Amino acid sequence: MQSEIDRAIDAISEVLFGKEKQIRQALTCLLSQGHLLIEDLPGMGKTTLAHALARVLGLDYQRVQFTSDMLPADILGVSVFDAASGSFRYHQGPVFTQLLLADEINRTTPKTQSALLEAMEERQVSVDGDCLPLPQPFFVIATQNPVHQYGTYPLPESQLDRFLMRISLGYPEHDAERALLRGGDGRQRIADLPVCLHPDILVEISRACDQVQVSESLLDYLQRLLRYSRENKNFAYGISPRGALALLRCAKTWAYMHGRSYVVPEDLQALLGPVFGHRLKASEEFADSSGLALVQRLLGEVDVLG
Amino acid sequence: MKPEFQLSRPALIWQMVAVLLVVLPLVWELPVWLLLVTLMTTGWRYMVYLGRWSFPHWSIRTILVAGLGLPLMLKIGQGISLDSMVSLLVLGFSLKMLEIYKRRDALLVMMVAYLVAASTLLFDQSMTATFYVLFCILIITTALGAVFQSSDSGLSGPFRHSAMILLQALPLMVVLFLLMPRLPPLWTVPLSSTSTKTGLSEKMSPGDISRLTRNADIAFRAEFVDRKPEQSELYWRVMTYGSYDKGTWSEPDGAHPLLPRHVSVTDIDLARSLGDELAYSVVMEPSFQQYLPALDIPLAFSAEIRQSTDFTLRASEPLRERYRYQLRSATQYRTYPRSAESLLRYLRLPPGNPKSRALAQQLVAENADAESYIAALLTRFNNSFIYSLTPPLLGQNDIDDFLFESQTGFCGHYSGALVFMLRAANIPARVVAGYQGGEWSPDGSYMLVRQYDAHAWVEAWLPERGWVRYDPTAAVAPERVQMPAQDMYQDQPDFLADLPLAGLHQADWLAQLRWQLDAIDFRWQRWVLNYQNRQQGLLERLLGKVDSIRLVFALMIPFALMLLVIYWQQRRQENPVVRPVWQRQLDKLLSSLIPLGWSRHEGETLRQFCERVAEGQPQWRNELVMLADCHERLQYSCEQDLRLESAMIEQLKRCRDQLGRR
Repeated sequence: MQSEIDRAIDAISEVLFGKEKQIRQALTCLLSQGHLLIEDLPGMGKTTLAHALARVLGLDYQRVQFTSDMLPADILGVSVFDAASGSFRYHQGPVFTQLLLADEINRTTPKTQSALLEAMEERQVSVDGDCLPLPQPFFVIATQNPVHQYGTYPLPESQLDRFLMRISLGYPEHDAERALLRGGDGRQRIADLPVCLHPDILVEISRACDQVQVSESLLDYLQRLLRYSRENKNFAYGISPRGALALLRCAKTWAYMHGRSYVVPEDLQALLGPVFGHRLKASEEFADSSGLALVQRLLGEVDVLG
Repeated sequence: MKPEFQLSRPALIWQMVAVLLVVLPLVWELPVWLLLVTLMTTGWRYMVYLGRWSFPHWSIRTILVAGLGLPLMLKIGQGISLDSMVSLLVLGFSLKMLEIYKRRDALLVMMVAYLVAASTLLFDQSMTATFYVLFCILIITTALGAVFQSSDSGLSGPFRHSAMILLQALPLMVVLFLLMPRLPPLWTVPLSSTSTKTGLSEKMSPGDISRLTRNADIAFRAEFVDRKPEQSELYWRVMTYGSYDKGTWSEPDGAHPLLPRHVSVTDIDLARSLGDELAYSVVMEPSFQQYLPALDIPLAFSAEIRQSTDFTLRASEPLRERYRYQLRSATQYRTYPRSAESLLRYLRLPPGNPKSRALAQQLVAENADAESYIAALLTRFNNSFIYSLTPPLLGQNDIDDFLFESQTGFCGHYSGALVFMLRAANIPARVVAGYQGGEWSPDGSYMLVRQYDAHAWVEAWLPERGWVRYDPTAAVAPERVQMPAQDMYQDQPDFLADLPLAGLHQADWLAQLRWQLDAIDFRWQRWVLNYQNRQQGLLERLLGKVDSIRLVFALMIPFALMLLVIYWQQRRQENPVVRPVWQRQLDKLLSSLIPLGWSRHEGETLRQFCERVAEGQPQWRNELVMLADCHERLQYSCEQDLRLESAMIEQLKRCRDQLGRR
């Protein structure tokens, strides 16, 4: 099964040059049954990555471009009066899919955001008093612009927490960009990408990831990280137990992806940024440092060996 | 210019309190404008904190340093003295408050504050001063700690913390006090360029002593070993005046050579004890002079004191701090002249005062010998003269005026007039200045002599007896020498006129309190400041024999014990469980790499570290990678296999060998 994962990564690398680390992280997120948030400036390849992921996972997907005048019904669906039957009939919204690409989620109002985020958490939608389950599996890949841009409604912390990971792509490396500029832009070929991970393989992988071992020493390190984030003055608040569980789940997948049957500290370190970056906030005295700067502190100052 | 870092509010408050506290006691010693500078810079600092002002531009700071520092530098140029050096320190310290841009600056100010606080003790070593400085140290330590603490801990947090630190330091302080050898200073500066201490001076004109009676400062304290003398025996000789000119008594330089060390006047047959002797010790307050008071003829005294041929004592240098000395005096004695010529200068008189000379001739004619002549003079004083601290002013012929016109005066007048009359009758005579009497402490353990006990009396040379003491004041007012001066002077309007609350000074309960405080201070003086005299004995009892090696050990053992306690506490906190063998060996391996320039960062896993080392030392790569593999499997794979541990130990050994071959 590892070979399928590697093939998927290779396939996506063909349309998104030089971003193997981010592709692995994104794939880890989805293989860990989590929702993914991609944050970056416009034009950095957020949507390309989202599309490519949907493609290689072989899921049916819907894309919603969020705008400021959107209403919850535009995502969840709407009941329309059917003159023929004399009753209201429910039209499913785009959320009823296996993989939802929510583009520029912070462009829309908090009301619409929370409708989606509720669906992500509960994996069901309440319409007219009925609970309608969403298809299985259900993933959301949301993209957003950096919050300091105009016309954005930043997601509150509690809703950021619904995303298992937040990654950003950054500018391409020199060589990768050169390849891109030479006309090798693979975005056109997304539609031709092979389906590498069928849904039934996904289930198997997920089961295998659960089998990955976690030793006491590793838990010691994880707890040292947690204690540091809770006790250090630079942190406004520490990592919650849910955040810790999220990291552990991702680390297991990451270890599995690298062909190991146990988790090592390097696994935790590789995922600390994507998993903790959006769950941390600097205290007021050190307000100028971002979540990722705090992650750097955790990486640099918490002793691995203990 | 904006500061790069902002002190927390509590830190700033503690800093300002500390700065003001350490400068405050120096107000009495240093120019007043320095305090104003400190107040100004502290205020400025506060305005900067509030954000209303900013720190002054460097040009303003330069002007301040130049403008304020220059006068001090000029003063130092005229001659280095302690107060000008401390002034310079305080000036720099105060101005530094205007440039606290970094945490380092805040720390520096507090470090210097320790030095400024300590400099207070250069001027005053009394118990109050010592405790004040200890209090300052507590506050400075608080301010220092507050720099590192967040504002959450409030004002009291750093204070409690620093109190805890100082309490922990207390045992060490006691050990250091008891054992640390008192070394002489490497270099010194004179204490004061212009000392304005009251006390006896090297010249006496009538009025000098009455000026002293306005002053209740302590001159010295005395403790008697066995016999306590009577009040009327207590003539504390300080200096003698042999020359008289224009109404002023003085002693020319070199009139009385100092004897060599360890030689007293009895050794060169200038004096002989006739039996009755007193053993006592004196604690002298700083007088900025070398004169030391002693009763009658001192026979034996501490080695660093030298005696002069007029029997008075000199310290080796002016007394800048309290000085304690022990001595023995003969109260009954017979003295001999150095030479017949040496007595001639005690007969010299300037022209003038014809009426007095005539009276002398008349009395010489009436009396057969010197002693009856003196007795007649004293009777004359007793009959019609009045003792007063506020006599009328005297004219050109001062002795004539005093003897025939005013007939009112105090010891200075009487002794001066008596010496004049003796010389006019061809009897060698001189004025002796010093203190008379003193006040016993309520428990009778020691005697307190204040400046208002200053007195002057007369010594006359009688061929058969040598120098004989006559006190004309006793003839006029016998109570002056029989009761403490305070009781004697009570009715005099000028007595203690310089004290702001002179009336209170004589209140009973206050006198009680004063005595209590003085007794505590006296004991402090004896037990703490003069401790080095007893230190030798204590060290001998503790160590058997005092040599430098034993002393070093005695000082090191308490420190080592304390460090050991701290070490164990730290270990216990860090390692609640015993670390396995391989882990300890790994620690050792890692620390042996540190001197080679490879140290693992906290957040670096062993594998990352091994990779990094292998980059620089490719020949170790294989072993290091295997080490990382072993470690990973042992620590993280969850395999319950004992062989993993022994493999790890094996691999560690191989790594050590490899490093050893380097």
